[in-house]
Amino acid sequence: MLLIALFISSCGGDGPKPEPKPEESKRIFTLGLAVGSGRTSKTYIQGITDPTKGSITFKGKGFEVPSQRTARIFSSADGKNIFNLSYGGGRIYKFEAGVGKNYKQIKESNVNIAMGTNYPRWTKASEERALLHRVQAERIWDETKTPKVFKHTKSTIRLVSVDLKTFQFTSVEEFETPTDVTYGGKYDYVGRIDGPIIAKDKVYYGMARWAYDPSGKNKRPRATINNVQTLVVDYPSLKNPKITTTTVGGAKGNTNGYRTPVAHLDEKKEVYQIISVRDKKDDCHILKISNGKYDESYDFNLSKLLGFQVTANGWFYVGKGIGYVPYANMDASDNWWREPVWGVARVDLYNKKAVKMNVPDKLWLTQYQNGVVHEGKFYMALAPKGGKGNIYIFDPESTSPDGFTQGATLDTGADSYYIGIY
Amino acid sequence: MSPNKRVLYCGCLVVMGFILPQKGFCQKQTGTISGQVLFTDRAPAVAAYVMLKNTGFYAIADDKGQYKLEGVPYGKYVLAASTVEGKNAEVKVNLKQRKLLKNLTLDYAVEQLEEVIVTGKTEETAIETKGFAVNAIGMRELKMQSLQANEVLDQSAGVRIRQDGGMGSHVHYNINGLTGSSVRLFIDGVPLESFGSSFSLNSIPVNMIKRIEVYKGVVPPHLSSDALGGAINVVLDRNQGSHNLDFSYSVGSFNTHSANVNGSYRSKSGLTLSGSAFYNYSDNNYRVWGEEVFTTDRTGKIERITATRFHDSFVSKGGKMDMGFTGKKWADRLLVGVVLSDMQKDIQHGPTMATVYGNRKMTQKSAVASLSYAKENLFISELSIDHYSTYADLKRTVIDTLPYRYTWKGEREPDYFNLFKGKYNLHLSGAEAGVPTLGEDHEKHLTARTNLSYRLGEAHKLSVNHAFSGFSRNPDDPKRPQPERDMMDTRYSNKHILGFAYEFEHPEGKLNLTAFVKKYLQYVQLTEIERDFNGKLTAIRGHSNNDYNGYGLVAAYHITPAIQLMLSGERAIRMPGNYEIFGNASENLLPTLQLEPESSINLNLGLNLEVLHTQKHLLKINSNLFRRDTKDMIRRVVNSHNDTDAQFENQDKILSQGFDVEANYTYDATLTLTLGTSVFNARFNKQFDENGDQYIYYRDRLRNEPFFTFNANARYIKKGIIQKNATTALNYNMAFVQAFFRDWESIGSAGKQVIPTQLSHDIGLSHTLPNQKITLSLDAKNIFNRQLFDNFGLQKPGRAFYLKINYKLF
Repeated sequence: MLLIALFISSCGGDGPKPEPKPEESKRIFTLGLAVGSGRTSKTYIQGITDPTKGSITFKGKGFEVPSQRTARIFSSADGKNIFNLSYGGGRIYKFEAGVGKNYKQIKESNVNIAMGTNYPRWTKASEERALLHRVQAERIWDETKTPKVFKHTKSTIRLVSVDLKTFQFTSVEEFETPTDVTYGGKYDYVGRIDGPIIAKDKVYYGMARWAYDPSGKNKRPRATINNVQTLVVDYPSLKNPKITTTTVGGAKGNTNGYRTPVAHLDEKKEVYQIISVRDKKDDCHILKISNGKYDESYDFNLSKLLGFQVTANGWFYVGKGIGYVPYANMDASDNWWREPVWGVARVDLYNKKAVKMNVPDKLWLTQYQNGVVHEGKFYMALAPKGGKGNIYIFDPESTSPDGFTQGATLDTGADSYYIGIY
Repeated sequence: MSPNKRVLYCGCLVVMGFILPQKGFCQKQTGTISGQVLFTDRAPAVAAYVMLKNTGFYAIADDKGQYKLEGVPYGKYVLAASTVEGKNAEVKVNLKQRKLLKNLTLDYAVEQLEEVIVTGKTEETAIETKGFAVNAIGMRELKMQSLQANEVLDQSAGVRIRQDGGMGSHVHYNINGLTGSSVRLFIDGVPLESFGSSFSLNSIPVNMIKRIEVYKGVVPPHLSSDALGGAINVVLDRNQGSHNLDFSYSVGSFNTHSANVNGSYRSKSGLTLSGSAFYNYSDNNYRVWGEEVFTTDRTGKIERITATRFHDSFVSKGGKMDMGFTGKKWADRLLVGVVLSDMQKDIQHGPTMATVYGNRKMTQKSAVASLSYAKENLFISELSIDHYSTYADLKRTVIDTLPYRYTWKGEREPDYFNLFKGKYNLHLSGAEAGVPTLGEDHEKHLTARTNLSYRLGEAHKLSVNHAFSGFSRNPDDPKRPQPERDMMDTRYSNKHILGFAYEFEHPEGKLNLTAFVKKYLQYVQLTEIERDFNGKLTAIRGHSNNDYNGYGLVAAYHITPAIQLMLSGERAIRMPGNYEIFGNASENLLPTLQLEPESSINLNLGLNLEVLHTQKHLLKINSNLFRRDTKDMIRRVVNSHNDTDAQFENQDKILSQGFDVEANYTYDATLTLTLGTSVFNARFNKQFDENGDQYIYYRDRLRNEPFFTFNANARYIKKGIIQKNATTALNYNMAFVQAFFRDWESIGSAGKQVIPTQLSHDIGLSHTLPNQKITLSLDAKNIFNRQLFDNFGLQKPGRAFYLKINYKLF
């Protein structure tokens, strides 16, 4: 495996090179490293202009991103700006990207004032807008009875949109879960929304359904999930919430992802959204949403196409129906959330094909945040858990499992993870 | 070297003594002991209290310093003298004739901040610490100042106190780089936690403290602790046998008030009563500014302001009462006591000052009953027992029920968006730091410490030390639904620490040795009820037994009278704490039954030099080189699918090496200069994780821990400057702490979070009136109003002034 990788790497180096450009016009690729995966996690970023060679280390290098926990970072498409949510600090930041440690803060805003929490989630929903969101769960009891009787969990959803140029709030909305939501369990509720995408005059938010055990005996009961649901609101008002539901192709799962983007627009402005499944009895699908509803005629069954049971926390779209999915191999471990059983698959949404890429073993991409599409290539920062890795430069034109070259080497170690390239 | 020289050199209690070699005495005959008590400058120690220890005999010296004790049975005694302005003195006497003349000389108590190496030379002292790396801080002079116990500790080399804010705020103790649960605190040898958090070191008025002992690394067996990085023992002023009544009151900046009264009475029959009461209050409304102090307008734009803390008041009050008998045939000391205390504290902000609170608060209440018994020559001669037990009932409540959001201006944040109920912006979680809570922990804690020792001749001593701790916690939260409340079960843990020690003291004091072994036993029980995916309920009653051994050796050797070499080493154990084992439901912290204790190999090499010792000049240098190699450090890890639960694991290794040095110069008993520095280079010492992957921060300096401190202190005491026979003291303290990183030093090079360098200056002036009863003092702290941080983003008070009056009624 290593030999093949080296071989490919050296081949890649011999390929035709684009014309060298003046230094200032070169895209800056920002690498993100999280040190510590738990509560004490810190996030560091570092800018490079040539991802194809060299070696990257954060020993004595890089910029410490303000955050209480792992920072939630995304970039503008051109890589010139880095946006950061200080998760736990409740503030968002805009940086001008530079080479090495040179990140200049140009905007700072306290989103706590609009969110009411230092722990909102946020997603880049277009080049102009970031969306912040949060669900407040409140247990409702019938106090007239003795002992009081649990009725249901009330979920209050708050949505905020932020203009990425001015860092002003453009909309702030709050409402309860729309009544057309469906639950499989008696005490299920909407526990989280995340991974929104703006498409035309709508925003689609992924949803997680959770359960509550009023007896208190089971602290983390699981919701019973029999379908796929997404919250739809109008854009830019963020009003008029509705739920769209599907079971197309037998799909059932949550749609909120984790830190990887869940939904993307293709060139036709159609939304493609990946679902997450909990265990290997369910298949992982990519579904299509058009005009506020799931497209009941479209189903992309990633598990079936790959031939083994997978789940994903999100995916990346490159163009022309081609995307890359960081997936967890659920056949390899039931504890896939914590275990390094992750891989990357190339997906062709239009021709319904999926290929398991020959990326290294022992990847842990649970918290992976971002990849970069640049000049027709797709870049990811991949390092086996605890070991050295590389920037992987995927060629979307190639349907081969080896359709990539290895760029710069990435230095890491125990308890530190590359969370993305931006 | 003579006993005189040796003790003087060590700077411990001055003993003008010579031990008479004769043995045997006649019990029927009685005689008189008399003499004169003088200070080193030959001034009479007027009103000095002179007593025969562990008997009912005492006398007060007259205006010439003369005293007389009559009707004393023949025998061997310890004659002790104490005064307000001098150090205590003790001397062995052997009364075997009608009249015995014995003069005593007292040192002036001017060197109070020096590091006193408590050598255990006086057999009678309970401190058997020869060779331990220890700072013993005498409090006599410091009592006059408006100081908190923690401030006194902070001036001591090798010790760093980190505080989150003003009076009553959370305190971390760092001894030579180790911190947290590695450092144990004691009051009179009893673990501090058994008194309840409302009886913290800072709530103890300095007037009540006689001495603070700081053991670095190796902890003496009589403390019977499972400390890893050291121990702090606060010795309260028992004032045994006297009758006295002291009152003090201090008032200062930020509406800070401290009052305390303590008194004791002892009748000739040995009936002893002592009591004390304290009251502390502060608004802590000092000004803060900087990165984390801001207001936000409706657009999210941040404006940094200078703000006054508005929700940080602290009040603690309590009393301590002991009664019983001292100096009886059947007991040197038999006392029963009770300590009642409570505390209320507003909480101003979250983990950093960026999160402002306006309503969250906590209260604590504790009631403690205690029993202490001490007897020398128990049943047989040379067998001594010292026992102390406490039973504590503690209640701790966190009150956080209101959802209003506050700004640093002290106002509720207006609801600009007009979207939500009410006129104000609310915390979505329903309360300031999470879900609404009236969380209450009800704890019961029984502790018992027993030290038995047997002396074999002059040179050998054997001792057995046992400490027991039985703990239960019953958590509850009325804000949670009943079923959840029912699930919060009571948790128990029992701990025994058994120590065996052998001590050797060379008759001429050249060599001291202590060797000890310790056995640590712990029993833990908890019940978890879980439901599997099919809904089946199982009550998992878990328990675990731990059984571990530790050992240590301590030696001190006088190479010459002026040079003493000290060596100590210990394999130390720290048992996992209740919080670490039991978890905490409200913090999503899961219990972990199978935690192993932390262990550490601690080594100290100390060198004490008496560089200069003439009639007027005394220069001493104490230094200590240390190494702490710690394994299985308990670390909090995230351990679940959903990233929200955490628990503890035996994970880390830490290697801390370094030194501390303190130089002390005294001129003519009036001027004292002390310089102290410590460098603790504590590093993350775990190379590979469980998968064999190397940590990129292996051998990095520990994050968020200071590593270099410097302290300078000057004190000038002179009689008769302002009034004849009045004592005036001027003191100055400078403290420096080198900046340190909040996170790993070696990773990243820009934007790193830093706890900046601290440099603060304090000055104080105190004046004792000629009647020796009233002392007035004025203290100014942080006089240049520097912005000081011990912890990231948590600013400490700026410039502050305090006025204090001490009144010794009798």
